[in-house]
Amino acid sequence: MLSVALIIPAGLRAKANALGEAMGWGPDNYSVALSASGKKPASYYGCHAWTGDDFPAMIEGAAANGLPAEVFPVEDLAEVLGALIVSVRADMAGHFADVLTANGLRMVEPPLW
Amino acid sequence: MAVHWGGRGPGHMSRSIGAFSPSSLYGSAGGDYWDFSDTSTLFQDTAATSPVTTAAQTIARVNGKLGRHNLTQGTAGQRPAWAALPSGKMGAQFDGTDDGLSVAGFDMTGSDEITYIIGLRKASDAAVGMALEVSAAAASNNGTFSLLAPSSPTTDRYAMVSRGNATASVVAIGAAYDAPQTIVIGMKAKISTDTLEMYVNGALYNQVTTDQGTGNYGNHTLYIGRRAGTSFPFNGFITSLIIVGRNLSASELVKANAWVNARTGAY
Repeated sequence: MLSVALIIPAGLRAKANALGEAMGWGPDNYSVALSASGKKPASYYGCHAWTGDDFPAMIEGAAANGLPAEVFPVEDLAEVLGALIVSVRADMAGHFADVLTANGLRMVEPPLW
Repeated sequence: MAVHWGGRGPGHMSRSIGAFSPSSLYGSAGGDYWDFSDTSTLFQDTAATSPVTTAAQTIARVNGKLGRHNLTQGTAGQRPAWAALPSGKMGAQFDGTDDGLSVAGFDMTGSDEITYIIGLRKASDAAVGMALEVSAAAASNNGTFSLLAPSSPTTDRYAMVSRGNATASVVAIGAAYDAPQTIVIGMKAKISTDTLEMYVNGALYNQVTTDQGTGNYGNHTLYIGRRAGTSFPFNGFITSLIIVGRNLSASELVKANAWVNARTGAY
């Protein structure tokens, strides 16, 4: 199992979620609102996933070879993968937080009470 | 790969309390219970066609042991993984980023009493974590309850909320409750009598009599691991969870805590 952190600019969130759904991951994988200040509005959205060991090859394969047009538009795929921040580790501990720090981002949380 | 799953699998789980089953707690009371060590109830898909069989697989569905309420997660990136705690027990590992499970229509309207007991390992206190909550926000909706682990990155290490139409909370504070911590923690509450008790590892730890208002508990979505499936992600493991729509007796609490601890290894 691999720990995978994915971050996409807010303007590409819908396309990134559509790509995830087209690949059988279900809706709204990019659900973690992110910004430099930790306050709204979100400038990025993130996802942390547990994946199989074949995930990096799958992403690289999609970038190199594309996907069938009926699965996902070619131009959208290039746009999403071109902007997607991808980090893969074997160890999950602190992974997503480390990726946020490296990219100057914080999670945007609503008031607790 | 530097992933360590511990040395013992579910076949080695202790069952120190023999014949006791949480099923005996319910009768007509609402609720259900979930055993994250029982692979017969864990699935990699929401349709329950692909069972979880080995560590590191992700959990899309956990069937309630009473068959009333099945927890699900339809989004692959938000599924917890089946993994071993340091105690060797198996549980669902929530990543503290976006993992969560939920079930709609968790109907507890038959009573103003609730008891829950959960076995968990809290991995971090760095951010607020919603281990469980009914409704999109327990303090904003009537007939609700929740468990935060932690409820503050600086002070409250655990907090429990119970609400009729007024909110009461009870907390655990201090270094003894710092993460990482494996714990069996439970709540016993009754809205009309303003009873709110926190149990830690089988013993009463703290209680308050803050006004909880009136009414019974509600019919809400039950969220595990993340508020409303969108915020305050819990970072850690959950091994088992019992939620009963009545107040358990002292002897029942002993048995139920022991059942959860057999799957958690907290004490």
